[in-house]
Amino acid sequence: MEPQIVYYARPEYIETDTGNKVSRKSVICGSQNIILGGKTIIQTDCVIRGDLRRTGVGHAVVVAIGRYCLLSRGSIIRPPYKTYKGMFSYYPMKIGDHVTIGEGSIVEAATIGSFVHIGKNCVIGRFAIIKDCCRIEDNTVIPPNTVVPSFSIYEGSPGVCVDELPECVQDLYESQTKDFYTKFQPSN
Amino acid sequence: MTAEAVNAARPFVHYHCSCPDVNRSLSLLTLKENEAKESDKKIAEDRDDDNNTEINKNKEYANTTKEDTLFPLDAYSPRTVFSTFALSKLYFCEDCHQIRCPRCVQEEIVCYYCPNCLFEVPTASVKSERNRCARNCFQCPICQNTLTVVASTEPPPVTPATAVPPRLLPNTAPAPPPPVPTPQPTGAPYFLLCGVCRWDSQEINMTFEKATGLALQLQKTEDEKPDVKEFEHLKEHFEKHLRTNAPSTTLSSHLFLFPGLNGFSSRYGSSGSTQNQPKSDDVTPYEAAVKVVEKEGLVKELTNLDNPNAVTTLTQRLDQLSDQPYKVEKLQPQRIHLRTKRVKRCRTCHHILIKPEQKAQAIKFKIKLVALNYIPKITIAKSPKLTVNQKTQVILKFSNPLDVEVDIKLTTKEKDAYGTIAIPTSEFGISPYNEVWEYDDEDFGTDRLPSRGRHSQAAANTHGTEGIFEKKGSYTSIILEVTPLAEMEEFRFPLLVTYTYKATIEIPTPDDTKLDKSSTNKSDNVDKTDTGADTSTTTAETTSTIAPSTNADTDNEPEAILTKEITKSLSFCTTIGLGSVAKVSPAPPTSSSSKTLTGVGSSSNST
Repeated sequence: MEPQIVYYARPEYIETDTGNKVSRKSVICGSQNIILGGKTIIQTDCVIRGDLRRTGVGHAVVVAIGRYCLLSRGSIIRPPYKTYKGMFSYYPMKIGDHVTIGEGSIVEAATIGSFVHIGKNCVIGRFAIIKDCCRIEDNTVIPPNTVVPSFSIYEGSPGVCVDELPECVQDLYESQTKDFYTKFQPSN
Repeated sequence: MTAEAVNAARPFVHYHCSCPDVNRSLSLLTLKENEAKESDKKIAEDRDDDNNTEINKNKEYANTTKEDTLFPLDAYSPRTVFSTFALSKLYFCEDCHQIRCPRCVQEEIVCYYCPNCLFEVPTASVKSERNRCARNCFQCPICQNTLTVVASTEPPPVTPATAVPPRLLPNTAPAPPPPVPTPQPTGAPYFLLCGVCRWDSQEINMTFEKATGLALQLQKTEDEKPDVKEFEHLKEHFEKHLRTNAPSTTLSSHLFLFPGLNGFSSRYGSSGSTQNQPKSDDVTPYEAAVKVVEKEGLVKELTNLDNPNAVTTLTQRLDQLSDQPYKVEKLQPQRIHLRTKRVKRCRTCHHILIKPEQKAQAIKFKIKLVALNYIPKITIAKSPKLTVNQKTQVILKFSNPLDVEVDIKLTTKEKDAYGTIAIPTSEFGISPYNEVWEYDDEDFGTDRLPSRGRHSQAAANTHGTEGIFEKKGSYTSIILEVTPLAEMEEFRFPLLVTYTYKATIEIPTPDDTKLDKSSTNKSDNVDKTDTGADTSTTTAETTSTIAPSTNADTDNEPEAILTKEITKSLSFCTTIGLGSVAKVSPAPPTSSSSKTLTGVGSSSNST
């Protein structure tokens, strides 16, 4: 099924020079610690916690998001934390290109590769590593410290590998995210 | 999204793969069905009459009706689910010029790796490690999640109440920071902890002295398991027979002379009297090395259980195949199974379709022949809700992945028990794929200039042509008129797509007739509908269908390479599902007019 054009209210979104579209109704904390790769869409009610940074260190990138990513409504990006050698600290999070994060999902992963699709209402646990070309189905809970290898489909709570993705998934997700970006248009 | 929308079947376009085996049985079945019904359904396409009769002549089932050859699949049969696939799952064999599905490819393992630590395991050691990770990766016996290694003496006091005990990396054990009094700087003993169900290996008294090489530390206990011992013993018992018998029987092809089976053949009185029979009869009766005594009280215990959670689930039991315990406390953490990367080959010609890179973490492919890059992609661009006995316009978008122009011809069952389908324009062209246009596409909605007049038509919306909704870039959208006749959950119909394009091939030397012929064959092969025993049709006629445009331009390279333009074509069947059909609504009849489409931008949406 061909995706339809999604219209948004022009005053709601800020468009950056590199084509990022960020909703004014989203909560972006510590924006100086957040990098958006370009042509990334952050929709209404998203939360990105760039302020949760490593203690002690000066300026640091907390959340790095690649190109053509989509953070759907109500998704939450929060860097992972742990106590290491008695010191509580947050750790940076990296998200690759062409990543879609579904509505209402909470992401605390350490890394998310490129060409990843995360469904709706998912919870990605702390320090989870999601490699390139993966699919997390709707309502999945990925436990902390889990590694999701490439070309796998994870589903359930706790998420387990249920299937493999076809080889062309890279092209598929690339065209899907690009298509979504071009069809995400101001309504006037 | 509402619950209703979630439950509704999503529209789909599935492609049919004509795996030879499935197809044969399918066409036979449809033939039988048709004979039984004696239904005289009319064939949808009359104009390619000649072409089709030719195919039939060459077919094994020459007496099948034309419809059978065109539509081997009944869109409503539950069987079609197994022979139709989403385009992304299909491969394309260039040599056979055929679609290949996951069922008609052969797989070969190129690399084993652990899905958790992503460490590649050399093929040589996979067997000895029993296909499991031999490092630090274990799965929880209760919930099958990955376990983490935790140091028991690492002090948790600094951690807030919400945080889990710290997970330590192997090299982080020594010397925690001064503020916390640490009794042992080593962190030993270590244990395994599940982050999901909070199971930890201390429950079953499993602790480790070192945080690395846990599998190695456990190997001793693993080797002492009865099933492992028994298997080793069995292997030992039969290996010597295999070795003594192997040289004498390697040349023989008789089934009972298969090395190792020698003993059985003589023992159980098979007819084969061979020269090495007396020698082979020395297989001594096998005696079990380990005797596991079944606990007698188990059944009684299980019948008197109060708490059902004290018994293992089937998944838990099957994960521990060695003893399959009923009691939860007998469950042990299991090493994680390895995963593989695989080469995929065409079963017919054995050419490689998919060849991944050897490295476990690489996502690139050295060879990747996926159908997405060869076959026109069909998407349902617009499908309004269907209502019984109401003509509805459905828009199908055909995108061309090739860099040459493609001509499409569509055929469908015009009428069946479920509804009627009309295709106003069943033949149309799609402009070649062009990356520059892909960039243009980003300025969606803005008017685009025809790119240097090469395909000036391509950029313009051709509303004038009846049945063609839009022609733009590398795609063409056409209109189908669908009238369902009954209320149903999923309206489906078959669609036969034939695409034709001109390809330029190189002929090394003019007298190399073999190659010439093979290429001719190829084009010939694909000209047939690939729904039947098309491999048998290939040799039958080698001259008739190749392109009339066979022109060798000898000017450029007078020496060796000649190019020749041939027409290639391929037919494939698709099943298209359009979702549920509602009953006739009590709404006034004017509602049908609202369903006619007016333009691209008219799509109604909420914002």
